[in-house]
Amino acid sequence: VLGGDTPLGIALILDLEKNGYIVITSVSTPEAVDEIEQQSHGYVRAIVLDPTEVCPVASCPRISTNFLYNSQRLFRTSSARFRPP
Amino acid sequence: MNRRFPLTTTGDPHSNPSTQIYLYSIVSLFTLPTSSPTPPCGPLETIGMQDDYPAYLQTTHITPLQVVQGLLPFLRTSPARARDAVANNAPKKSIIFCLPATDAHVGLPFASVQAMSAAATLRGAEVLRREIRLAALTDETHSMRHVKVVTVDVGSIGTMSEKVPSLEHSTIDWTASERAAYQAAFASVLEGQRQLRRKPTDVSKFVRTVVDVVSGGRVGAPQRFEQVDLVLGRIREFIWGDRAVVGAGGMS
Repeated sequence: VLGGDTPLGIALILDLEKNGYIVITSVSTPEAVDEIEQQSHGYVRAIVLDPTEVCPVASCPRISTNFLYNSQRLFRTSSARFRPP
Repeated sequence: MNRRFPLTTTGDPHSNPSTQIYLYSIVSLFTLPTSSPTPPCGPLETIGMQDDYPAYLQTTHITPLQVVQGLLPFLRTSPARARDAVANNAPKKSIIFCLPATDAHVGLPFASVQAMSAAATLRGAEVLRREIRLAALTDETHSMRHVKVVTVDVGSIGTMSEKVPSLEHSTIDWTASERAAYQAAFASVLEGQRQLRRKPTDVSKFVRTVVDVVSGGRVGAPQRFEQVDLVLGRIREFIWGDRAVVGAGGMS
């Protein structure tokens, strides 16, 4: 979910988690990571991505590199012990 | 060491491949209007094309598409997963763009920034959908056959109902000529927005709509009605197609 700390984000994330999904979400600040993960039951992982970060045009492909690297690594190296009820 | 879910469990160096997580859906809420940066409103003539518009476009259009670009390879299905999906009647994997309905389809006066960004994202989603469909027809590995692109047209929803900006604040940087030309019309549009506000739809309806799209209409179903829910989900998917609508004014 892109935009976990937007007004509609947290309600959507918690409902997806309730329905058995593991949710990986972006949040715009490091503080929001703890806020969101604490409200979940262990199946929500928040990664910081500030969408407002504007780079010069030449380096645009690098804007979300950190987020992508972290989320791609997460997909490659994660497993689920069980799904929530 | 693998990360395991729930996050409270320890990592596992010998995790079974069958427990590996895989990407099921990408949902973009970035594509909805944000409070940061606040979308500037006013005539197109006054929009800052060096600062205001690029910042808004970056947040609501470029960043979500970049993330979709980066994660798309994870949505492609391996032949084994494709066979499993067919055997289990699994819903398609999805890329979901939540868009402001009015901005994406109409484009109201003095809301050019939101309208241009939303329309660009909508067109990007349509092109991506056609590319995936075409690829699914010709790709022998069938890796794109189970991916769908859905746009959710979002009207006025609970907490995100828009605030009407003040006339003084909005026109502070206008030139005398721009004020003379646009101020009366702009003031009447703002007044209209104040008086004719839609009653926002509850957030739970938005959540239910998106979760339905993600799951193909199969969430929270009791086991005994599984087949009925499967059929209902397919019918709903057939009717909705690649577009879902939610929120007051979403049908605009």
